[in-house]
Amino acid sequence: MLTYLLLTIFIAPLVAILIALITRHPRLSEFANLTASIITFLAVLPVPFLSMQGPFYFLNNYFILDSLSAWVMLCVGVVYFLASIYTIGYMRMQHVEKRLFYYYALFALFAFIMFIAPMMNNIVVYWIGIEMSTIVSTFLVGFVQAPKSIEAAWKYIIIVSAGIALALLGIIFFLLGWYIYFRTYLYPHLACTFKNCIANKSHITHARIFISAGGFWNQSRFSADAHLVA
Amino acid sequence: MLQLNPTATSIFSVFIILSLLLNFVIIGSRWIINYVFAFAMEAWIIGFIALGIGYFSHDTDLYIVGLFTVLFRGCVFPYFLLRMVKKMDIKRELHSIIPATTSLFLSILLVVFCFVIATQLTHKLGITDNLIVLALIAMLSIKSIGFLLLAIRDEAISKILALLVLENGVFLGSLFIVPGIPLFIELVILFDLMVAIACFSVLMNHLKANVGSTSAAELNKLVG
Repeated sequence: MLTYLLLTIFIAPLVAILIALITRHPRLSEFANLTASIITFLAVLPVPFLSMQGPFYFLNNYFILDSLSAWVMLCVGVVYFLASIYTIGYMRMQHVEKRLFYYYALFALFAFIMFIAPMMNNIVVYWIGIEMSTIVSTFLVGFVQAPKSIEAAWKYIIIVSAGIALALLGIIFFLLGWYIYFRTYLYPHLACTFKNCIANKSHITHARIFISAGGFWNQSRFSADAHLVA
Repeated sequence: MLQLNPTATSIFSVFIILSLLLNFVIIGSRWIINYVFAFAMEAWIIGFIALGIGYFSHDTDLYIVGLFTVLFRGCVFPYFLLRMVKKMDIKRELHSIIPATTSLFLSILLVVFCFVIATQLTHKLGITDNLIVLALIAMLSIKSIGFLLLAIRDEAISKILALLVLENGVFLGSLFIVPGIPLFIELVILFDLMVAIACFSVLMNHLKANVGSTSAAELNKLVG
């Protein structure tokens, strides 16, 4: 049941991307994106409840679904659904009909990355997911191609890339801390990593490394939010 | 952690210091072409470090990582950057918030600061290997200098280079601190950087066409 729901969540935005790119029709792309958002919204609703007995692993442990990632996916599903409704009227006012299919393809791709990133069972791959979401969202920010939107897109990508570079530094510290704990560079399960770290309270010094990683990560996200508000 | 003989340790130490010094070339110069060549040279050194570590630790994955680093960071990225420089016809930084000498002095202060942080950190973590300490100092210093570059340079191409310098710093540090990162992750990061540079290139074209300049000093429409 859970596997089918997750497959639906991942496939629906991909189908919307394909429809937008193949047909290049603004209304059809709009419809495909909205339908994908409704399908993913309905599919994501039961996921937090079904994941309570987890964590569940998929595809040779490359993907993990625990309560936290299920909660993040639910939030993404709600935002994707609401934004897809709002964006129809908003984008029609921008007079970019000819390129609208491209916008909806990017929109669905962004949703797809946001759904898939929280399920990554490796912190470095998770970082790559965030980086990819930044790149896609940059083109969404600058889509209208007015001087102001291009300026916003440029500032956005610079600020967020700097934040992400800090997050990468945090990850390196995290991996260093992991090595000091377990004397191995193999880190297969992220959930187990955190669980083991929390259980081992005697390594207060090492925990600082993880807090730094979290701090860097927050910095990265905070900068993105701050710029979006600006 | 890496276990190397004294000769290898000395060679790697020289390479680490060289790559750190190349950042001073970037920060001390105003000619964009110098930035690109210094960045390319730094990438080559990091690539050789990866190959060297692969040789000494008998890790075949690191050979591939080293080769890809030399190919992408050392050749493909600088080629793209040089093409951008030519296309935009930008030869040097016209406006700089801080003069080159002051930025050099600030960079030295940052290196000293990173030295203090790195030594404290390694002491607390019980890491005694001098090479790891040096790699940590270089990683933090390159990162700090990258942020300084990002803050004081206006030209779009300088900002892209600053971001690449940040990545280089982390990559250099990770080779010594966590050399066991799986190969595919390194390759995906490289691919990711490639996509990022392509995006920056597209955005720079839009900046030139829609805003009329690639200097951050001219981007003041959204200042609150």
